[in-house]
Amino acid sequence: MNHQDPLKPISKLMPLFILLAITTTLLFGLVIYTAFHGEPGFGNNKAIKNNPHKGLEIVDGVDLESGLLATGDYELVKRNCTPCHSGKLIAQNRASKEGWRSMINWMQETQGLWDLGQNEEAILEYLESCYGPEKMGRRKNLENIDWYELNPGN
Amino acid sequence: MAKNRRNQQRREFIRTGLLASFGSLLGMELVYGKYIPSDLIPLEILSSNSISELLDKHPELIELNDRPWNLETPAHLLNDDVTPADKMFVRNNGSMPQNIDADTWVLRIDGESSEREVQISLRDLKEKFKRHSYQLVIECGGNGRNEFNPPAKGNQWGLGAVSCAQWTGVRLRDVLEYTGMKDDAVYIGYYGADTHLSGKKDQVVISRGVPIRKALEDESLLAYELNGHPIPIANGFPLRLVFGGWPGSTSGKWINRISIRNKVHDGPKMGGQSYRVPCEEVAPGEQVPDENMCIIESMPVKSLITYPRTGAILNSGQSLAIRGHAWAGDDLVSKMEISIDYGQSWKETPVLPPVNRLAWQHFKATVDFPKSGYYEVWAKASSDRGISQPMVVPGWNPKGYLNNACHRIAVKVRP
Repeated sequence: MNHQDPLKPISKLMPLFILLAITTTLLFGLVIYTAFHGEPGFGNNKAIKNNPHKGLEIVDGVDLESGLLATGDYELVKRNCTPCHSGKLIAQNRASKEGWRSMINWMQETQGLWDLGQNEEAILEYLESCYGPEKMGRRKNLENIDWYELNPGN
Repeated sequence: MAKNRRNQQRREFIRTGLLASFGSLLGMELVYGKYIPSDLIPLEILSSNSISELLDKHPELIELNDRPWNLETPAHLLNDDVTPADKMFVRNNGSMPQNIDADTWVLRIDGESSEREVQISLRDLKEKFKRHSYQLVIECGGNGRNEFNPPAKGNQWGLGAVSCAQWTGVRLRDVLEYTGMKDDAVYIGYYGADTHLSGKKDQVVISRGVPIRKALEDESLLAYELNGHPIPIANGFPLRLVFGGWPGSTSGKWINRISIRNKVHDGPKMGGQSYRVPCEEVAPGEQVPDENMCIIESMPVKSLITYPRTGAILNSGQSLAIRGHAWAGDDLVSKMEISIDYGQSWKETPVLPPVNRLAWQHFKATVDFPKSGYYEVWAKASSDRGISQPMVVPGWNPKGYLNNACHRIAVKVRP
């Protein structure tokens, strides 16, 4: 049997292939690692940084990144409150100055919020004026009803 | 319906498509790719998708909060007898755990009143303990908070922080008996794998529990399946507690540790004002010292009209067939009534028995309107203890829990 092994030239190149495969894998691994861990902090913070609305900033008086009303000292509020929780949590609540103060105290006592120092007054002013309580009695009227035809067959 | 299904397929396509392409980039299949927390997938890929898509939730769920994620289900989406996974509300206190591996998941049992400290793998829970399955109501303690006056702090839940799905897993009792419990056991406290929003690694997000008597009930589960499938990550994959009829916060998610305590559990959000109401009723807005606050146990009697959606316009003489569910915490709903005249008169309508204890009960009614005009259809459930839902918002409390006021929908009848 004098036939030359047809695979011989390929097997000669095998170490090169293996080297190439290893390099590619390492490179991909690096890319993926960077995608996940590229910035210090946590996955959730990343979501905020990569907000698709970034650049639009303020629309209809609302800061799109935080969902807060963009008036007065809102940037102070954004800076001190939204590192930990969504601005949506603020915007959906209503309270007097004292009510907001007690929430801040609770966050400082149990959730690791820092001392707001002399910014506290300005933050409270903003919160009360933008998100103060509304008088709503013991039961509100049904509001924002989306009227639609109900077919008898349904 | 068809639109919803299309949307669902679209979302599924987006998700699997994304993960598949992500996987091909890595040159391998992403095992359990479905359970990768969405915030781990590079946001550049996902930035055009909404949170409901990322969490495999119905697009009409109402986003109350995105950090932590809190999603509410509109009442008309709760019409199914058994709540589908994509319509189950989400109440998170912290960031969802990442890199969950169900194959290596371990549950630790410890505590002063535990006979020994044991570690049980999820695999052993599934293979060595008897499987049980129940339909169980999980309702957030703060469901209905948005109606309190003065306003109460927290996520402003409306109607839909409630669900009743088929939960499958092992009885907590079986696990506690296997571990061995001392006579002085009072409470169990859970710990989960979620992480604090502040990013502090050692800060526990929430660690609540139930008294031993509730822990030992037949229906108290360590669940690993929801409606016959792995639990969605946002609802506690791969292992969670389910205590039907009690505030949802007792049903801890992503459970990796249970402590058998010789006192009332004292983890974060057990004390202070969290998941507590004044032991004695207070006037709206009154300050209540922590020591006068009592832990919420069974949730109150409540009901929802889930069909039709509020805002239906009917022709003159057209009857309205309504449907809904009623539940009463640890108790049974024994009576269901409907009113179209703001409670001046009530008409009783049949309510079915629950498929098992702590499942919600279904009701139907046909409503006829005497003349044209604007109406509200009100529903009122009563428990077998003779307690009914109030038409006004019940006792004010600082954190706005336990609003079980009657649900109503708006209807117009054409001339």
